[in-house]
Amino acid sequence: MLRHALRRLLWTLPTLVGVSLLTFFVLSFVPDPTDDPLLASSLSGAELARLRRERFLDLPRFINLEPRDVRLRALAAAQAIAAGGDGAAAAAEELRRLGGAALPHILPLDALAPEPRTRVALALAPVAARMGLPRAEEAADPAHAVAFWTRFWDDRGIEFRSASVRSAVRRLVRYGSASRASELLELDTFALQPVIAALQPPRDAATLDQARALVEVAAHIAEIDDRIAPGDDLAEARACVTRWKSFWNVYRSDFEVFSGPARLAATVLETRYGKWALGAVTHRLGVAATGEPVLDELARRAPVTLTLVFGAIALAYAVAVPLGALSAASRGRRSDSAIAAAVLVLAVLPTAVVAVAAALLAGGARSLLLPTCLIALSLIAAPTRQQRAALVAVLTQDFIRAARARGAGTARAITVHGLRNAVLPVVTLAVLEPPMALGGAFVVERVFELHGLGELTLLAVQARDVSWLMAISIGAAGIAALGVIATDLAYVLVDPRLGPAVLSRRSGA
Amino acid sequence: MTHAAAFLRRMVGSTRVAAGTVLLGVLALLAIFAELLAAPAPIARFGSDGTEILPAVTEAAELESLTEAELRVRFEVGVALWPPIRYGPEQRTDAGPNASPSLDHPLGTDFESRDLAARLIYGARTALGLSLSAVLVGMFLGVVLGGLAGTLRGAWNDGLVRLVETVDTFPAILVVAIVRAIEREPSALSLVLAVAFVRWAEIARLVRAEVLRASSEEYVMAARALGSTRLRVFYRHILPNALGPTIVSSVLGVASVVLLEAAISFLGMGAPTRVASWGETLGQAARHPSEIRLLVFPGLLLLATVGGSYLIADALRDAVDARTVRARMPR
Repeated sequence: MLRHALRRLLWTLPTLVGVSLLTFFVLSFVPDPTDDPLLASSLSGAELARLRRERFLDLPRFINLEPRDVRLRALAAAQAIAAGGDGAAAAAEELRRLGGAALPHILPLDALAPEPRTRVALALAPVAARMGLPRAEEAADPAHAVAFWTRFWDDRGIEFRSASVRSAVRRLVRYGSASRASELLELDTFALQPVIAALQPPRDAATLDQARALVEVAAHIAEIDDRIAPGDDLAEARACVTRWKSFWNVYRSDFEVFSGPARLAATVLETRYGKWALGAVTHRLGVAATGEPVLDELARRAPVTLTLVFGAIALAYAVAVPLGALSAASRGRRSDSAIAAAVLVLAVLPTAVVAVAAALLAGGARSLLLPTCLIALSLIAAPTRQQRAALVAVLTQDFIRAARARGAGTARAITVHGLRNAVLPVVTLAVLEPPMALGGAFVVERVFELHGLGELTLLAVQARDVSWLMAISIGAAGIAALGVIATDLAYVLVDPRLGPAVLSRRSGA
Repeated sequence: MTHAAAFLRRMVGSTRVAAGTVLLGVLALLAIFAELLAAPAPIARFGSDGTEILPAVTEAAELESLTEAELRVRFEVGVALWPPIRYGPEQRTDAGPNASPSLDHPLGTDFESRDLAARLIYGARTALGLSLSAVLVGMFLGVVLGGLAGTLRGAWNDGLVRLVETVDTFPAILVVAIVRAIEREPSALSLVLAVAFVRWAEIARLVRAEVLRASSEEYVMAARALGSTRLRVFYRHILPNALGPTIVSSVLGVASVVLLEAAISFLGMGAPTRVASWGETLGQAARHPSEIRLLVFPGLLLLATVGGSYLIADALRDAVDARTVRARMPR
C-alpha cells in the first residue's frame, strides 16, 4: 500500500508539469507592457528590443530548435559588417557587446576578402581597448588593424580555452590581486561565464572581497556600471550579486557556446518556459506583485486560506455525516423532509450574501472561526444528500436486518453496521470539495479583509503577475492530486475488500 | 407507455418541478424581455415624424451618449409608451449615487448613480445567459470527451482519464483568474469559455462511467454483433442512458455557475463593471455595508435562480432514476 502511494505520488509529477505547461501557455498571452503601442512609440527600437529580451519575449515558448549562441551571433554580426550597408553599424555594436567570447569564432580573419576583413577588424577595435591590450591603438588604425588581430590570435589564441579561463578565475578568487584581474580582463567576455559561475552571494568579509573582485571584472567586461562599492554592506552586496545572476540568466546566450549536451539543454532552457522554470527553481518561484519572493508570500498566506478551506470542509462533514444519517434513519418522515429542505436552503445561499450579512452583524472577524463556518454552510448540502442516499441503500440490506433481529437499536444499527458501509460515496465527494471551497474562501477573504491567497491572486490578476498565477495553479493542482491519492488510501482503509481492485486499477490506469 | 411519456408524467405531477419552473420561468422572462421593463427609451413611440419601436434596442449606440434631459426631449413628440422603469442598466441617472427608493427609481440607485431595479433586471440576463451557454458548451465537450474516454483504450484513455481527474479537481476561480489576467478587455465570452472549461470534466466523468457500465451489457453487445459502428452504438444505445445523469448534473451546473458568476463579479473579476450583474451589486454592498437593499435584492434573485435550478434538478434526478420511483410508489 505504501508502495502504491509512492508510485502514485511519483505519477503526480508529470501531471504537475502538464498543468504548469498548460498554465504557462495560457499565461504567455498575458499582454506585456512592451506590447503597449504608447510605450513602444516612446522608446527607440534598440531600447524596446532590450526590454523585450529581458522579459524573454524574443524566445519561443517551449522548444527552441535553433538556440542562438555566441558563435551564431558572432558569425552573423561579422557577416553583416563585411556586407556593409545599413546593418553594419548595429552589427559593430553587437560585436563590441559580444566581445572576447566572439573572437574564437571570427579570428583569424582569413576567410574574408581583404576589404571586409579590414572592416571587421576595425569593428573589433573597442574590444581591444576594453581588453587593455598593449598597442591597442593599432587596432583602430585601418592600416594595421588586420595585422594586429592576426598577431593577437597567433600569440594569445591558446589562452582562449575554457580550462585555462577557469583556472584564472580560481586564481583570482584565491589570491585576488590586480594582475590576476587583468589576466581575466584580457580574455574579455570569454571569461564572463566562469566569473559569474564563481560569483556567490557573500557571507562574510572574506567572501565579500572575492565577490567585489569578481563583480569588478564582470562590470568592466560587460560595460555595466553595477559594482560593489567599498562601503557596501553584505545586504547590498548580495543584491548586487543577484542582479548579476539575473543579468546572466537573460544574456548568457551572448557569451556561451551551445555544443553537444549544452546545445540539447539549450533547446529546452533557451525558451520562455525554460527561463521561467529555472528562475522558479533558483529564485523562490519568482517575484510576486508585492515585490516579495512568491515562495515567501505563499508561506505567509497559504496557512490562512488552507485553514479556511480544509477547516470548512472538516466542519461541513462533521455536520453532514450525522445529519445524513439522521435523515436516512427517519426516511419518509417529516424530519427527513425538514432536513432536506434546510440543506437545500443552505446550498442555495450565496456565500457572498451570507458573508456580507455576517460581517455586518458581527462587525468583522476576530478569528478565522466565523469565516470558516460561513464557507462550511454552503458545503454541507452535497455530503448530506450523499450520506443519506448511501445509508438508505445500506439500511435495506440483510445484515442490518440481522443486527436489528439480534436486538440492536436503530442508533447502533446505523453507527456500528451502517455508517462504515455507507461512507465511501461521501469520501469520493470530498475530493471535489476543495475547489468549491476555494471560491468561497476568496469571497470570504475579501469580505473580512483577510490576507490570504485570494487577496494576492486578485492583485496578481490586475498586475498581470505571471509568477504568482503559475505558482498558485501548480499548488492547486498539487493539492488536488494529493487529495485523489488520499481518497484511494481512504477507500482501502474503510473497505479492505476494495484493496486489490483500487491498487490494480490505479497502477494499471 | 413509452419511457419518455412516463418520464414526462412524473415530471408534470411534481410540485418541486412546478415551483422550480415558476421561479426560473419568471427570471427567464425578466432576462428575455428586459427592454420592456427597464430602458432609457420608450417601448414604442407614435409621433408625427413617424413610428419608433424599441429605440433602446435599435439605436442603443446613439442613446448611450445622451443625458437624461436630452433623452426626455428626444422622445417628447407624439405618444410614447414607456417601460415601468425609465432607465437603462448602464445609464448614470440624475438621481445621484445611492438615492433612496422613489417613484422614478423603485429600488433607488446604486453607488454609481445607476437605477438598481434596471440593473437587477438586466443582471438576470447576465446570470442566465452566461450560465446556460457555459453549461451547454461544457455539456457538449463533456459528452464528446467522456464518450472518447470510455471508448478508447490504451494511452489515450489514460491521458484522458488523468485530464478529467485534473480538471475536475482544479478550482474554477483560478481558471477565471488566469483567463482574466491575459485579457486586455474583460469580455463575457471568455468567462463562458473559462467556466465551460471547468464544467466539462464532471459531465465527462459521468458519461465515461456510463459507457464503461454499458459496454458490457447485452444490448450493446447485440448492437455490436449486428454490425453497428462504435459511433452508432455510442450515439443510439449508450448516450440515451447517460443523458439522465448528464442533464441532472447540468441543471445543477446552472445553479453553481450562477453562484460562481456572482462570486467572480463580487471579486471584481467578472464582466466589465459597466455590465449589470448581481455579483457586482453585492460587491458594492460589501463596500458599503449600511445599504441593506444592495445586499437583499440581488441576494433574493440569486436565491430564486439557484433554488429554482435545485428544485428542478432534484425532481429530474428522481424522474430519471427508475429505482427511486418504484420506492416512492409501492401501490
